[in-house]
Amino acid sequence: MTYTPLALIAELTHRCPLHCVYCSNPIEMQARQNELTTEMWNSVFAQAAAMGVLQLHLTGGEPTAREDITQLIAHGREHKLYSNLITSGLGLSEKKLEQYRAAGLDHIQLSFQDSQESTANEYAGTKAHALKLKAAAMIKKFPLAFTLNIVIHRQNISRLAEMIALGESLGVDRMEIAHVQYYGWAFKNRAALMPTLDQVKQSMDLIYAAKERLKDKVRIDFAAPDYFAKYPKACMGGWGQTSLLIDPAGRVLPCHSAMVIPGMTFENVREKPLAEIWASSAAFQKFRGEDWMKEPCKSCDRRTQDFGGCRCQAYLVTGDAQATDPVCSLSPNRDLINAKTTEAATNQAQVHKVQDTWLYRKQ
Amino acid sequence: MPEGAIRLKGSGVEILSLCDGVRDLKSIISELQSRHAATDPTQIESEVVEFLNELRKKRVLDF
Repeated sequence: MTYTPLALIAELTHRCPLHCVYCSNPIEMQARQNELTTEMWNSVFAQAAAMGVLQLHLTGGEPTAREDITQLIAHGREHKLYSNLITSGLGLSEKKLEQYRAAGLDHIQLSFQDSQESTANEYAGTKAHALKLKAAAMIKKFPLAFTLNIVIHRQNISRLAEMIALGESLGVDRMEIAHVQYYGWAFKNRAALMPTLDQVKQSMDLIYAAKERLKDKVRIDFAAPDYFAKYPKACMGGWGQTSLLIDPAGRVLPCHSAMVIPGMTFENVREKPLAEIWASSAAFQKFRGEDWMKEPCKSCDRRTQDFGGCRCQAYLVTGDAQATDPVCSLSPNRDLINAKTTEAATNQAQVHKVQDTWLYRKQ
Repeated sequence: MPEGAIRLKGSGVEILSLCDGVRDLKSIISELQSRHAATDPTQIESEVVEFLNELRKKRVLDF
């Protein structure tokens, strides 16, 4: 079986003006001097396009912290990739947007942390909210597809209706509302971020109502909280099946967080062609397809739908990256997840007074 | 459409390639009717409208 990647996630830099408490960057971040050069990225984009990649997600960190961002957008367009800039909006200006658009940018995704300024700034670890509102107004002046991204969690979930209203008032084309996923910094802050079951149910009702109400105006994509689900998510559409991520230093990974799995070696685009790394590197072969699966996945009818769930979550929660994703109701380790959701339900005190307990990324 | 992709077949490719940001719905339909003179024009019209409405629902395009 051969697989064709559709999306390239280009983590251009780990530098970022924000320090979000649920940041998906790895705990060990890459320093500026290790970042790939403009020409190396150009080569990567060309190779990805030749492999069949359609979408280029320019992300970070804050991708516009790269001084060559306009050039990188232009290279994406040269190779006919649909480009998406995933940004905090800090440092954006109309002049820069004009340059990005002229270079061929198709889509921009702007993150918000909350609808309420004080808490939005608290979760971002910096005074970002007011700047983001300004950025959104600037983006609307350009013919760019525009997505609002909001991560929801225990502390902000009660304002979900206001967040949807914020998206409407900003005039976005699409909203991506994602329950926090417990990787990277979010795993460190899991206890403060974990919602209660009631919060989850209320959020689902709100989302479905908003989807119905806005169906011809705004597309709402929703990432469900898998700790509360019956079956795991089809993480990344299967390991090494549809997407690849390149970190700032050039290492090629199947997802944002694969670095946490011990004993893995990720090959680098500085040393090998991308197509070779995708097709035959040990890391991409490791959990591709079904051969690696253990029971209950191995004989399960759902294995072709969810691919056993997430390998990183399996490792983080059970210590075994080959295990069935522990959020699965069929997993023998589901009790480890239940313990965390039950703890969240009983620990009401945590809804308030968490400010002093957040762990922020330094950089 | 930043996440996900749509696989188009035959007529879908033809219809979508006429969506250039300049033509309106009416002129797309009449262009296709003149290209396919042997096909019932009302059938072309209803199929184009149905196809584009479907894409609008997915928020792929607006008209």
